[in-house]
Amino acid sequence: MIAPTIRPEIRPATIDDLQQILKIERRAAAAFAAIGYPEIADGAEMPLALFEAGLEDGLLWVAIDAADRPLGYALAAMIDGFFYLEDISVDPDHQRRGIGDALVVQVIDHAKFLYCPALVLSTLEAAPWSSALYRKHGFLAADMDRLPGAIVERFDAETALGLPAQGRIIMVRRL
Amino acid sequence: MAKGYWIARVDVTDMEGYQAYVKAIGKPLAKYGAKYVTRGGTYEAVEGASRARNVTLEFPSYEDALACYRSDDYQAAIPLRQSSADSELVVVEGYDGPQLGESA
Repeated sequence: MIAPTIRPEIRPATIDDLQQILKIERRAAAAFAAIGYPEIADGAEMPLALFEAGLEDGLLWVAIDAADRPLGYALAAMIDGFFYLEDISVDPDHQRRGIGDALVVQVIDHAKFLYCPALVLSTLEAAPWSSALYRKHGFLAADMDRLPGAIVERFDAETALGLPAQGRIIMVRRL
Repeated sequence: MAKGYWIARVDVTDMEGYQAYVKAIGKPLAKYGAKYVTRGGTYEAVEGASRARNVTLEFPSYEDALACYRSDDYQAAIPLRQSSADSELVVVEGYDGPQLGESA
């Protein structure tokens, strides 16, 4: 059975959401094992400091249910004037209901609100729930050689944290 | 209880400075329960002078809206806006009375 599409409410995350956000991150990461990236499922956790920075900078949002419980989150950062989308994850029990779409829309709106020229992210091309979602919202795969140095540095830093360099692409959406 | 609103009209002159301002106001806005009603939306200046950005924030009450403006965190952010944008801001009490077409 396919769960009905919902239009979730999205609000800025608070410190009280952090535990649930970390739980969603781990639960969503488990799906990477099935597409040949067990190292993401079993390790390569996103550092807590990234989430804390997102809270501090107002760049962490949660999609919530009627009881105000986070079902998914979006985490971004500003890098050299670009809006860098660190991660969007949705709890596996609530995927395929439009929550990821709603979070992408929120992030695009906020980047526009901040007058950013473009949104940038890195993702695994083989993860259909990820690269396809971003393509649907206007992201295009970018040529690594033509990206600003600070973006490439962030990509390399993510690789150093345990994300695979092979098969991971950078996508850009102009605003 | 009637809600409270901030109504702001803004012309941003310095993108990076304005980004720093938006970052700085996240905490006080969240603390006082603010919600964006309008912010970067499409608009049409049908009469009079206008600015490029028209922001409406809703607070649980007029008192909250004023307290947020007067909070130390928001006051600390004001210079960031003043140096990166031309703007006006009013704090206004919401209206809870009968609406047109409603029977008494």
